[in-house]
Amino acid sequence: MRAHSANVVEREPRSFGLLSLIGNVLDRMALQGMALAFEAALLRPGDARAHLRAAAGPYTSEVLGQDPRRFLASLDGVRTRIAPPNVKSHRPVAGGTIVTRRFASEYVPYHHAAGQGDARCIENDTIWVEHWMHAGDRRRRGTLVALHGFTMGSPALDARVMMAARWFELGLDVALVTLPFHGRRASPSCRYSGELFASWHVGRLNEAVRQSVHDVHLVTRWLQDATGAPVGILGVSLGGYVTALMAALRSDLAFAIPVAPAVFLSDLPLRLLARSLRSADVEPPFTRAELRRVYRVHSPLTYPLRTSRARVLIVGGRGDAVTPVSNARSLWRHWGRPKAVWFDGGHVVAFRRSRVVEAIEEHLGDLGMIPAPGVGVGRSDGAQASTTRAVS
Amino acid sequence: MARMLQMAGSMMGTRHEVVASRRLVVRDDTARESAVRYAGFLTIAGAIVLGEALARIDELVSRAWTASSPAAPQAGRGS
Repeated sequence: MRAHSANVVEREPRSFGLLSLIGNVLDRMALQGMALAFEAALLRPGDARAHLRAAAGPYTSEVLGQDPRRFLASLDGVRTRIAPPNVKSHRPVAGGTIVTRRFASEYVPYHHAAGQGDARCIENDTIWVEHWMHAGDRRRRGTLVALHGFTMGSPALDARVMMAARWFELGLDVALVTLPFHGRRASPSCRYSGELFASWHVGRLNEAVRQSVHDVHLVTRWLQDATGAPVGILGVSLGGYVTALMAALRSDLAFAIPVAPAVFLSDLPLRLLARSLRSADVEPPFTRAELRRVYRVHSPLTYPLRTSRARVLIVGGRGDAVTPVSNARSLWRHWGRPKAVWFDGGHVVAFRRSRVVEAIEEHLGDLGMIPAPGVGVGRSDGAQASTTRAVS
Repeated sequence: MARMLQMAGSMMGTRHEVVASRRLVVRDDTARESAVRYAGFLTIAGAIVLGEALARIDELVSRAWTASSPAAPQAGRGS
């Protein structure tokens, strides 16, 4: 119950002031918009109900029930030497260059039938990364890997929402990773970015989360090898879910900052369906309890925190109505109450944003992630180093 | 360019060819469903734009208040 600063606190968010109320109202407006935007996908899932329910089977097996970590065991088998990505383009940014990289995902599904069906989404086989790199000095810099939210995945928009320029200005390199089935990884026939990630097809969702873990692991490993400097993750909403999961699976992250994280993936589709104008016509294929059971294998609450608690900062909006603050609060409790910031506002708007940014900067500064002039940051293992950056 | 046109066509709810042998196929929507989807995304965009405007106003007011109050603590720093 002690305060680290004016911004970083360790107590639970209880107050709900005017600004959070405004944020909550705006979130409810956005939720109604989502219910309309996703209505066709929610009401006409495309697959027969029996087929959707059968897709849950491999993820609720007795084997996974006893040892859910087996679902993510492939993480341990990601090759140690990662092939260099293709460089698609370079473009200048103040103080450096933005390099667009393409990695081959080479993801192998846990259950082959799920996620692929009768066809494949070939666009999803490529991991796109917008890599903001400093130029003009030889300091070793850490990298902030930024993970976007559901329906995002456009690098320009993601950079703005996740304030890439701010972290870059602070001295960190930034890598914006496109999650599976989003942005350029979505099929052209999709209604919107991420449609094939989150749907009633729980098998495909589970594979998409598992592929997210695989792809983010691959990119962070490559960054660690190529730069020889620490790499941490900041993720928003769905990206916060993946960030939390990575923090639960890996011990070598320099930091993990889930912002307005989704923690209960089972809740949102049912809430959206309830808001649909035609919800009375449709019975959802799964109950909340059934969805929670299927998603257990990748829920961050299933696993203990492996990243050092001191390296974690949870950010949640008191008035969030899309991923209610109970999500972030559950994670915070599960992780033994690490540093947290509970801001005024909701999912679509953060009031007093500068305080949230300052809290994140303070966290990164405390971890030695912000390079002082002329001095590089340390390696992941804590040893100081200042060799030339090997990445180009 | 072809892909952009396909994306645009998809957003507008028009029918388009899909190579079913190699892609996960998502059905075409009716005009009503496309209109509803558009309305939904416009509503979301409205909430975001309105929120952004309010957040900026709040930030300006907050900074002005802090600047005009000598007794107020420095925002963000301290222990």
